[in-house]
Amino acid sequence: MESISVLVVDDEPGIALLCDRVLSRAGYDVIAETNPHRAIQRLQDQQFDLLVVDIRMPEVDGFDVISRAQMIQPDIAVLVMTGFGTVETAIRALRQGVDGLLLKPFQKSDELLQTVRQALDDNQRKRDTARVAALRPLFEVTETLFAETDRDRLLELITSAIRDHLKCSNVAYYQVEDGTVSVVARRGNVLDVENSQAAAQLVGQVDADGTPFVINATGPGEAEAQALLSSLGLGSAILIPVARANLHSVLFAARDAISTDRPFRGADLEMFFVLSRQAVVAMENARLYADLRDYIRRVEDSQQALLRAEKMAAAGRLTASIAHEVNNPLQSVQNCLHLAGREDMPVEKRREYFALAEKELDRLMKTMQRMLDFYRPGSIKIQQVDVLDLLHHVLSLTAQQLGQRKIDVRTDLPDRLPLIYAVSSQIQQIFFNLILNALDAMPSGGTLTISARALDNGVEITFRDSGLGIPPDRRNNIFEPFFSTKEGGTGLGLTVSYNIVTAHGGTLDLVDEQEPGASFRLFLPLGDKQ
Amino acid sequence: MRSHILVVDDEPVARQSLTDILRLEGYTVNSVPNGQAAVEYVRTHPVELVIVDLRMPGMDGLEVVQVVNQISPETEVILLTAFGSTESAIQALRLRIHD
Repeated sequence: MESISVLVVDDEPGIALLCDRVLSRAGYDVIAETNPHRAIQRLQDQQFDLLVVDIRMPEVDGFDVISRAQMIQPDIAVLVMTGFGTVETAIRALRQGVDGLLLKPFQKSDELLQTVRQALDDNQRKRDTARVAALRPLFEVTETLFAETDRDRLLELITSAIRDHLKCSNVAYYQVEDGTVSVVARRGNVLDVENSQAAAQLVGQVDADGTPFVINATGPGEAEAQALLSSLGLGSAILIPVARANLHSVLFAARDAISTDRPFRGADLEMFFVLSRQAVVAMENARLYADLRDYIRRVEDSQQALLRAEKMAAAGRLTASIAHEVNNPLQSVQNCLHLAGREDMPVEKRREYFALAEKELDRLMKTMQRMLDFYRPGSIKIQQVDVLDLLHHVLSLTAQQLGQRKIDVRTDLPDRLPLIYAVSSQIQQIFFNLILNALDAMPSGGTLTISARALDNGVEITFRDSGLGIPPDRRNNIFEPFFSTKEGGTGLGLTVSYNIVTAHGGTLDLVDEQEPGASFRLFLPLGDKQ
Repeated sequence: MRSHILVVDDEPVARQSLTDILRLEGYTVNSVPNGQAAVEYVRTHPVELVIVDLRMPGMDGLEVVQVVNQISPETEVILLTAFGSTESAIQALRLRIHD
């Protein structure tokens, strides 16, 4: 155990010697001075745990000595000796933050020892309280730090927190990587690691040592470091290294050298220590958040790309149908106009043909609109849609392929269904997907039954095919991306459909049926404008 | 000479307009809305020419051609197609129909 060092200052040599002897015998490391100036010099040169000082000295007032001592070594315990037992003295001593009072002459050495013990204990307690008091606001600060995920704002918060809680105006956040020291954030006068070799070396050394480093420009300490501080006009500084995984940081806090700025105390060091570690972890978090945000954005982008790809893939299969949807009505219109244009045609018949032409063109325009809706990228306008209308449209586009495969399409649809709020092109995409899936499931023909009904809160449409069905071990995976049982598929059709349905607040399920084939039940809520 | 033509198309306006035009040209024309009905008709009536839309729900045009060729080989068939895909053209030629 390190012995406690005591500096005794009393102009009376007898007293000084007596204290020296008594305390040395008790195991303390004692230095006795009768010259107060030399005593103050001692304080500059070495660390003491306790100062025992006579208040009344001819040359220098004991209280002045105490003030100086507290400036140079703020945590030092102070025991005042006085032959002058006035209340005044006692009060003044208390105000000065002294830890004990001893009346001269003291009867027994025990009295001295006890008072010394008392003073040391009291001083310790004071310091502990100061530490706790200093740490309490830390909880609030760390909460704030961890809530901030933006790196720049976080750095701002960290430097402010250090300045506020350590009551200093100079703060820096350094990072050490592969031997190079760089400054990440700074306020006020700090070690210029980028331009000063000595500064960089100091920070690098602190990082290498891995322990906090306190420098006071005056008083005992490392001369080089002290010189650096002084050259920056700083009075005291603390450097805390925090090494995590492959990232080494060093936090720096310094107070100016002006007389009103006291040097850092033990409590300050503790607080800075805890604060630094929290700060570094908070920075790590912020980086992780940034990475995560980045990742999510990339995932979203690729999801969009996949959605488009799936759409295009579906589209590719339908170009033939599109041509048909457009050319057939045009042919009819041409025929009707030809008929209407014949001079031997009675007027009513002409009118009839014109009306038919008009009807066909109308139909054609609606089809074009629906197709534009579908193929226009990013058209995500929510509007009231008639799912029956969309269903019929999709069926007509796929009719040729279905026919070719000898798939009998049976519909069990009501005359009307309530309109729902949805994105028209996306609902079409679901229908395309489910119908094309049914088509692929029935390579040698079969039946596709589509039924629909209105529910209180939406519409339900069921697509039932008589095809190969989905094996039990795959039933859970069908909605997963890239899960495809067919060639040339993106494996995304059902995934995309599922996502669209969910985004609309609906449900898409594979219904458990006994008969062969697959049955998909789609539910879409009535929704609202938003 | 009044030929008996059968028009097969699921779309009413297309069917009607084509039928009317042909009638005005002097032909005897009947029309049915789907392949099944077309086959039935050819089975029970003498038809000289069938004009059928390629793409229809249920039995499509190609199938109608095949069946008609079987049950009434002397009936000519014209396949109407709204999309000029090479595939369907080749297929049609193979079944020896007029384009």
